[in-house]
Formats: sequence, structure tokens, C-alpha cells
Amino acid sequence: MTAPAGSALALIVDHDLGFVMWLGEIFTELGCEAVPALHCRQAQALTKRFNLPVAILVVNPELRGAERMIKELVAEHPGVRLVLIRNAAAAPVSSAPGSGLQAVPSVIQARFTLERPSPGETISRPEWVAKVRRLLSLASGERS
Amino acid sequence: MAQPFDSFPISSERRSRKRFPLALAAEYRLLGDAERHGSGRIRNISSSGVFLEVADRDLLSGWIELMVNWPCLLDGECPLKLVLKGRVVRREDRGIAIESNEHEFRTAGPASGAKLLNLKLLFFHP
Repeated sequence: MTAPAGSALALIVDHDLGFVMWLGEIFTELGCEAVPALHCRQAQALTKRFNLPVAILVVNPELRGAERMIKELVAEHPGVRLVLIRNAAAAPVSSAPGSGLQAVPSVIQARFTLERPSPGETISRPEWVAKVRRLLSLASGERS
Repeated sequence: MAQPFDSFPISSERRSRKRFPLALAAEYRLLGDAERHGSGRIRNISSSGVFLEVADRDLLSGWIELMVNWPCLLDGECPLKLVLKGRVVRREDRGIAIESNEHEFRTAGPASGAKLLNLKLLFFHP
């Protein structure tokens, strides 16, 4: 299967192991190279150690150090597409108190959100594949 | 042996119990006295455990370690592995349920290399 974003590298950062693995597998299925990390320090360490050409950063903005990581990654990879993970039924990420991400719009224009499945939600893989495909398509469009 | 590059603890209250379906090959190793190892396939995973589809499930009990090769090589040559330790809490028709609160991603040496590199990158504490 060919991804709209080609073989872009997606760095996926969230504390939920299941969600990270699940999303990573879907990004991989859609032709991306997906690198999972469970927190920002880990993601930054991997990025620096291996010079990862991050094209898409999927991150839970509530993680400690998220804002700093985003700013650093944007500085190093100006074309990076940002996808913010938000909890189902949560306030918009940009206005969530304490999220520390109010400054994000000023450092990156193109950003998207991905809502994590709610606890009672039945997960449909085809729906999520379609959701991520749409996301990649949008990100690809923004890039051009 | 793969090296941990981080061991940032994650508090249990932040973990999701939601299980996500997967289909990733995994190698297992029983911990403790029983010397048994083999392979299976992870069918679902959460922050608190996994279900491992495995043929010799009746022989598996106690503490177990799983290693999952992530389908991506860092910098084109370095494997990334999920290492998970836990306890077999249930056997079902096709596999075993493992309860776990210890998991981390680890890097190892080049996939083609016989000797694994020590890539202990960073240790951070909250």
C-alpha cells in the first residue's frame, strides 16, 4: 500500500504503550516509517542519536516536555507536520489549561489533531486506517 | 542483548487499560528456573498487558519476557525492540494473557552485525 506521504518518517510519542504500538503499526501499513516513543525525552534521544528525518510528529501535548520537544523538532526539521493527540471529549488542545502549548501556533502553522479512542469505544482497524490515511493526505497537501 | 536507552517510569494512573489489536511477531523467554523460549504473535496490547498467541501455551506460566521487533530500522540499520516483562495470568484457547507493568523500547546494534552495540543513550529521572 502506498501512503500519500510516501515513506515519511512519523515519530509517535505517547505514554500509552498500546496506542503507540497501534498507531505505529497503522502508519507503517500506510507506507510510513514509524518510530514509537513513550515520552518526550526518549523521542528526543532517538531523534538526535539516529538523526531521524522526522516528517510527521504525532505527540500527546500533555506529556512532560512536549512543548520544548516540538519547538526543537520544528527548528531542526522546519517542514515537520504536527499531529496532536487529544483525549476523546477533551477541550481543544490549544486552549487546554496547563498544556503548555499555547505557543505552538507561533512555531508551527500546519497541525492536525487525532482523537484517541475513548475507554468504551470499540476500535475498528479499517476506520483508523482510513482516519490516518486522511491525515497523511492532509499533511501531504499542506507540504506541497 | 539489547540495551535500554531510557527507563522513565510511567505512573500507573496515567496508563490506559484499553487494549489495542495488533499482529506483531514476538519472542518469549520464561524467567526464573524454567528454561523455555519460543515465539508467538501479539494479538492485543495495552499499557498493562498483552495477549500472546502461542502454540505451547500449556507449558507457559509464571514470569515471562517478551521481545518484539519493531518493523523499522533506525538510521537504516539499528533495530528497535519492545521489551516487556510480566506474569502469565490466564490461558485461553489460542494463547496466554500476560499482565505487565514493565516495558520499554530498546535499541540494539546493526541488524546484520553479529555483535550488538551498546547504545545506552540517556537515562532520565522525573
